[in-house]
Amino acid sequence: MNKRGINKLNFVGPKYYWSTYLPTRVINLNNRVVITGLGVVSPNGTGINDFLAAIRNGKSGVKHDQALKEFNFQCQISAKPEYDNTKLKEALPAGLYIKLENNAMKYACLAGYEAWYNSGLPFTPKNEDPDWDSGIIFGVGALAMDAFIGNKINILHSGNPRKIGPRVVEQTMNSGAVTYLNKMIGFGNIATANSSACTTGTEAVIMGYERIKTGKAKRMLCGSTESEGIYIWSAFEALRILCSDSNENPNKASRPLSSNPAGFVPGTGSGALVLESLDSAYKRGAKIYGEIVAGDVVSGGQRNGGSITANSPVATQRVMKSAMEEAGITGDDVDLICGHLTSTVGDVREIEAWVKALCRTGNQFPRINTLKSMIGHCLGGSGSIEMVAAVLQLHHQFAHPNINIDNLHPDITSRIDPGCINYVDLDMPINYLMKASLGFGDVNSCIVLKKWDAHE
Amino acid sequence: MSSEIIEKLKAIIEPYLDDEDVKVDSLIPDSHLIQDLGLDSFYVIDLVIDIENKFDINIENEQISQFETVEQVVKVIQEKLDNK
Repeated sequence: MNKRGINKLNFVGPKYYWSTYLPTRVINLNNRVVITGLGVVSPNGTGINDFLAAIRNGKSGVKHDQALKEFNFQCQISAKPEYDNTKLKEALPAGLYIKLENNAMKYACLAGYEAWYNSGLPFTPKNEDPDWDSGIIFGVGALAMDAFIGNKINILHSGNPRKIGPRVVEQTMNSGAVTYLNKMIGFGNIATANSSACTTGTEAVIMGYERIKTGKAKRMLCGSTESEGIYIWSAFEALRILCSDSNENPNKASRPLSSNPAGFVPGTGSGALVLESLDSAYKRGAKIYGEIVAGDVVSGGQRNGGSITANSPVATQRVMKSAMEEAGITGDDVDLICGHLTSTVGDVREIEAWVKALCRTGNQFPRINTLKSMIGHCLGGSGSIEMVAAVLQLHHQFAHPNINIDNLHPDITSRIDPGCINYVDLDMPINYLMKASLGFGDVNSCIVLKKWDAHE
Repeated sequence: MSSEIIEKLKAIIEPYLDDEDVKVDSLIPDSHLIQDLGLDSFYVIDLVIDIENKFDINIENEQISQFETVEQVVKVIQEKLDNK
């Protein structure tokens, strides 16, 4: 670095080519990252307050789905959020609101708006520069299967492509929700949408965490969303992995960890988190919900028992161990696990992975729960909704109940003590919490959250 | 300029006004759709489709480029209606 405070790059190559000077940028590759805002649109509660009450009370968001019945699905139940349309109208610019037909984007806009508002960060005025240090990573599984196929395809097939309107692009491209949230808030840093099936939400948070940790951004809005309806869910009906034995009793359909899991309940919704460098949060006196101390993503490459639909046990354990290593903790330090646990045969494999990764078994195993017992599987939206639940549990020091377990699966009780699985809302000290999400394509993600302590 | 067309056009434009300071009643023939009314460029395409449906006309691609002011929009609509 020379006296003018600029770096001269010393790359191999023609001197004139690399003579470019860059402004000095003090790079700290190990910034601490905290969570300062939350927002959620969940099948069992929209908005942080309702959601918190719902998860503490074990409220199910699973209901009968008439459309699935009419189209002869064997699974005729689903988990969809309820929301106040006036809040959506308030959050969105009028011209965007009037033509917004995509529910996944509606949920994302509501959750993202709530999280940003909750953080106390400003919304950039229309005629000012965007906030160059704030960015957004908001992922999705499949943004627009129902919004496009259901609403537009008949118009297109009738030979009127122009009549589908100009909003199809923004409401079908995977970064559609990012685009709308960007218009609402005004980001100047990265603005992108990731996609990794059911790990999408957790991965988005990890990507945002890494961006702040390495100094490339100071604030990130991270989350995910998912669409809903007969088109997207038909794919899983065809795979025969949806729950079809509880159409008369929707509340009891999602039964992770049970001896008789019957497939997952299709769900939809969105979760959003504002991540912030500790320095930025301190400077503005922000409320801090918790700290992210590690996060990693691992693909199993569909090897070692992994496949398109099943996660490699090796890779699942690897991402759990890798996250603990980054956090500088061992399995003994973990107080609560918020599992992926979908109410399928994969639950036993996941428990096995936790046992091996944490080196804890029997009654030494930490407490574990899964939000999917209440809200089914929100696919690309699941990771972020569950991440919001995890942060709330860490912040308020409790473990939400697991519902719908009449009998635990014997291959689970042979590995961990039944006492590790709570059926009621449980106040408990939580210093470290681990959250994992696993997805089709053999992708695995894991985050370690730590209770915020202002004195550390 | 047809006051009937103007009134119908106001009703079509009003839901797209993002800027709370811009009221549809302040719309005049010289109002520029983007510069004065604050419409996004793709809102204009929405307007075209809404106008086509409301007036039962078809607007050609090359005519959309004339959609700059309220007066120009009304002129295109009027021509289309006259030729029906």
